[in-house]
Amino acid sequence: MDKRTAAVLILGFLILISGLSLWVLGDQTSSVVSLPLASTGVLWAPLLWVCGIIVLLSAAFATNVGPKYYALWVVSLIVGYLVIFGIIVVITGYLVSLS
Amino acid sequence: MASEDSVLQSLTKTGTAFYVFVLALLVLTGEFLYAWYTQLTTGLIVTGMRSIYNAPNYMAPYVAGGSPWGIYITNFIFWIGISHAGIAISASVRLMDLKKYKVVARMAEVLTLVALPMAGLSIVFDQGRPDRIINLLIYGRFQSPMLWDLTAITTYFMGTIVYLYLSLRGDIDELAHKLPRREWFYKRLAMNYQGTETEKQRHNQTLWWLALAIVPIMVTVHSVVSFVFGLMIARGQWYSTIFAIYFVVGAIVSGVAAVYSLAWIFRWLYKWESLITDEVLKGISWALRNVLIIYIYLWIAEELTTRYMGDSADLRVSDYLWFGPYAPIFWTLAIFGFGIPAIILLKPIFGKRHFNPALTFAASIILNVALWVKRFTIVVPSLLNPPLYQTGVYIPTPTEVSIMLGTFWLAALLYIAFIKLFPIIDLDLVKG
Repeated sequence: MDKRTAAVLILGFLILISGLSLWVLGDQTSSVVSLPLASTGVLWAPLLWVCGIIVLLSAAFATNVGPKYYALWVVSLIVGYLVIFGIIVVITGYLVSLS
Repeated sequence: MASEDSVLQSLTKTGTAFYVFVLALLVLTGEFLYAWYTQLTTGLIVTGMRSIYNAPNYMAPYVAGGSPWGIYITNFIFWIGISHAGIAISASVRLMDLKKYKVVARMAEVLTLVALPMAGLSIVFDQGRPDRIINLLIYGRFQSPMLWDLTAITTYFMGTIVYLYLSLRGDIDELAHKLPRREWFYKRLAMNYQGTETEKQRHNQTLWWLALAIVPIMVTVHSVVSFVFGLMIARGQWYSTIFAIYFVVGAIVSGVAAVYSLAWIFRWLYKWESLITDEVLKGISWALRNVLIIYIYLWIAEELTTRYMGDSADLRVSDYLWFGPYAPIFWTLAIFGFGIPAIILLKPIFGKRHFNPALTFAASIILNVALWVKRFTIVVPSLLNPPLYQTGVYIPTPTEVSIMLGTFWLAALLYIAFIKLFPIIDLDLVKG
């Protein structure tokens, strides 16, 4: 395993653990509220968790393509994943409102 | 050995029959979209699913258990099962260096990629308010198997995309040279692939490690699906330690059967007898036979345990299946759905000449239909026999059936789109 892949693996793992920890903390205590991330109003925990999974699994990619393509790949997957949710929410939300 | 041109004919040649088939699929997809529109604008009342079955007034006070889960959840388990075999077969071929079966590896990988979104869609159909699906991410709790499901399926899907892309990258680059009209598309998709020996070797190494990671993820996915049922004590025949392995083996049966069906169809359609040989088909059918025997064994073990222990919620569900309204489905499933395919698959043990690829194809199709019905008999009867009410009724409505079938039309369209853009057999296998 080359250094780049190892670095990406560690990064993905850290993001995943951060997301998971924030989520579990937020679920069980109110301590997450005092964290600077929470004050942004963005639901970072699930987002970080999804990003972590994607970065971690795409580590296999890091060793085979250049950094530019790797970044493009990861961003496309994350955006694509969230867009699918977005499309479902927007379209079905509109149709449900017709009832 | 078939030539490269022969493999590329799926991309380059398009006959009238193809257009007719695609048109038929588009019409059916249109019908499905209309059915889903009806459900979204009217609500789940258009389905046969109910939490409690309220009989009409003249039958009052008859209140019985309804089934809040029906053919959508059945479909979800079915598609997850189909998705299993894809990457599992491909990963096994790579890890165990089963060169003979490389010709079916990509067919299997694409099957996973197509099946997983269909499983996800089945869940969306089941929701009365799919616009709230995002709440699963925002408010999901890690104690819930539902969230484990989302995690496992997301991980599996992402792993599949990376795996498929890496195994396809060399072919994409080659297609840029072979099909000049589509060069722009393939060049960009190949992401600066050079095709050097070092690059190829690195790809193979990465794919090997990825295959190693994907096999346990694959087992996790279907185990987690089983936990949605197996961890629920309130319903008869669900709360069971055997469920995870039962689901995993069931998934492997349906997945391997689907891969056999696809391999046979491609061989027949493109005359690939020299590529997908009888030996390859026979090997897949052996794998299918072995996992089918394990599945039948687990099924018998489950039924025996329930029947042996006497009066209980489990026995009530079992009676309902064995002797009640679902008995015709149950016994048809056992005899024709599993018994006949098992006989067909066991026949070659008694001599080489007993292997019949076409008959085995029929067995693989029957098995997949049977496994869909089997999942139905796992989901619905337990819900129709709740502890607090009398036995209820569940009859899927035409709208519900149209929506459920929609996943099949969509899956077929996605698969066809793939084979029109990329070779379904690794081009390296037909070179020189």
